[in-house]
Amino acid sequence: MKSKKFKVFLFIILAIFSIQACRMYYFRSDYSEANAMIHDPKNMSEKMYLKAHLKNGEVVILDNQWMIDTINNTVTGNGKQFNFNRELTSEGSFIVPIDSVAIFETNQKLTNPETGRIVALSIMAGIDVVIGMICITNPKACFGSCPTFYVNENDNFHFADAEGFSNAISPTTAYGDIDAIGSRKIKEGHFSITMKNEALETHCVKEVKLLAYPIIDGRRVFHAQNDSFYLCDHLTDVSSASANEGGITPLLKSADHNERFSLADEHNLSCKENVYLDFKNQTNIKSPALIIDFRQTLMTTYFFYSAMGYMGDEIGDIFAKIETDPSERDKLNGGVLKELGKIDVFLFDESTAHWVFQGSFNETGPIAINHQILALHPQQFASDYKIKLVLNKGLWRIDYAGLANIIQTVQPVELSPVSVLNKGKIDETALEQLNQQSKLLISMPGSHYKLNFELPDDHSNYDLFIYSEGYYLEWMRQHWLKDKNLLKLKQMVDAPRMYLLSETSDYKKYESEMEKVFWDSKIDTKSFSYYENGK
Amino acid sequence: MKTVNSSIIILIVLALSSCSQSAYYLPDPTSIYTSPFGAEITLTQNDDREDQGELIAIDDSIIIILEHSMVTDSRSIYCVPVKNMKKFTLHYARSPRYGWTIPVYSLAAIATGAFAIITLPINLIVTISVTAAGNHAYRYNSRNVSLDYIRMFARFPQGIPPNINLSDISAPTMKAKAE
Repeated sequence: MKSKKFKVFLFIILAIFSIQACRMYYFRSDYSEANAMIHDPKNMSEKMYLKAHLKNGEVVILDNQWMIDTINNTVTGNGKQFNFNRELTSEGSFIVPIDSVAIFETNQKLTNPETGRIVALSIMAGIDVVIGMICITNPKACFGSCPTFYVNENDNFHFADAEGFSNAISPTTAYGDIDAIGSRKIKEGHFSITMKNEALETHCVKEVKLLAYPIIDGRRVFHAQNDSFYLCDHLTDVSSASANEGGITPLLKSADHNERFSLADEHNLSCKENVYLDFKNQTNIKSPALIIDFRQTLMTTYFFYSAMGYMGDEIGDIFAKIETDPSERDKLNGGVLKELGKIDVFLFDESTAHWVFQGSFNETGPIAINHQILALHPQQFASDYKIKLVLNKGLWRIDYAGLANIIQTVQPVELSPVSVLNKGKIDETALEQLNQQSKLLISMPGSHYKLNFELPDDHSNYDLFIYSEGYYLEWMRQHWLKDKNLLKLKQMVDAPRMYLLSETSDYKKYESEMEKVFWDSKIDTKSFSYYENGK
Repeated sequence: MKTVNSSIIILIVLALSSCSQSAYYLPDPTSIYTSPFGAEITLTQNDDREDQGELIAIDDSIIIILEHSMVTDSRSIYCVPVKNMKKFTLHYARSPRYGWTIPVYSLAAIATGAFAIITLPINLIVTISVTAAGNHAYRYNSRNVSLDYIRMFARFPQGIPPNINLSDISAPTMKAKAE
């Protein structure tokens, strides 16, 4: 595949090169007789420099004001004369007897011979500058984050199936992250997933495991925020959904990547909003649980990059402090992230007419869609469920909402990779690094590893989850250094509400553009089968 | 993949290495009308011997080339029989140098982050081909022009004047070039 792409690449280069290189200029003519020269149509359209090669080896080069005097049989004009060694002998006006001339040479003017190349480079520079400007102002529009996992290795990051440990930004913040990758049909017990580094980051991966639970009788397994796994049945789509903008049922009824999201508040970035979900006639549900598919917008990444910019050239010192001082590390969990909050879930209690808090959904990262479950605890049995999600405006994208009946908690089988392909070749070292806790697989930008797993062959359908543990180191960008502002950084951590308020206008300036740039590049449509979308 | 990577590197190196220094006496493309010197010829003989230098003259049976080393300031005149000529390349103006665009544009593409997946190959395609094409611009070779055509690019297109001894012909000086 890569080789094919390279051949195409090479072909294009050779084609462009050939087109340009094949351009030949035939601009020179010479004449042994003046008469032939002045009557050649090529020399009639424009007057050009004339070189008179004299019989004695000298040459006279006249500018374009030369004239031929047919009466005196001379050529007159202004120019320079060189001897046979091409040393300048005289300069000024000349009267050259035609009889002394062995050959007249004329050259047609080459019209802008470099134009093609300069235009090509200019267009390319223009494209780079425009995209570069977008990337400088909207970093997340250009830079992904964290290891991304793909079932189909050729997918781009818009179709990432999972992204690992997004909050692990230094060695001591490393943690294990579980992401659902949906139900999959397994052929002959083989399953592969590709882990890519698509960002300017160094990924340090301690472990990657596949968690699998067989699907029997249509029962599904979902992952909860507390890393429990629930076996469920009677999965039902939302009956109706609404938010500030009105009905949003079509957006949440199916997992089709058509997501509901809002823009941040114009006056205060930490402003919250409500989304209401109704599930009607759920008579089969005894132990209800809410399932939503969601991910973040680019807001948290914006603040992460802003924080790095505020650190400026002291970023190394600050990260060293985070590494060595647990109290500094704890601050990472507070500040802006805490202020922005999670997706809080409330269930309406008919008996008290109150919304009762049930728990929260949370997962950092704007790339892969998370599929998670939250067990609900109604005060009494009901067939209709009214649910309210309270979330920060402009922070979350929700693709799907459903209700399911929890049968029991289960424990999926944990599988380590049996082999690793590094860009198509078996990589024993990478396998060893992933399978030994004491070792790290270091993945650099552009890396991609295909991890092969062997599943028990007694089932063909599994609900699969990917467990990834590690951390990543974001690369500092040169243009962020000028943003150094330690006071802002302090405000971000110690007074996040004030910080968000003060950042509102700056963030709003490019929020819509940033979102547009990032998501408009979405490849038009992809068909999701039952087994791919996890429902 | 390693093959692909090394091939890209080889392509870039080739593009850069082909930025061979144009002969100092060659004019800029905009001054080819006023240069008094001959073009630079690289002539390969049937025995694969190669001669390179200023094209002094071509007559029916012989090609005269002036080789000049700037390092040793030595000059040699070679008279190559036309029948011994296998092929030639004639370089009549300085090649524009675009080699710098490969690393510079690549860096610019990398600065576009995830878009570099698209912009980097396009940048490489454009800059490598522009550089390579630039290096091969303002040239003729035996495949596309005849020996008779390139005679016009000799210092003496009329042939060696009878009053001049080959031993008296000197290499272009930097002063002459400046003039």
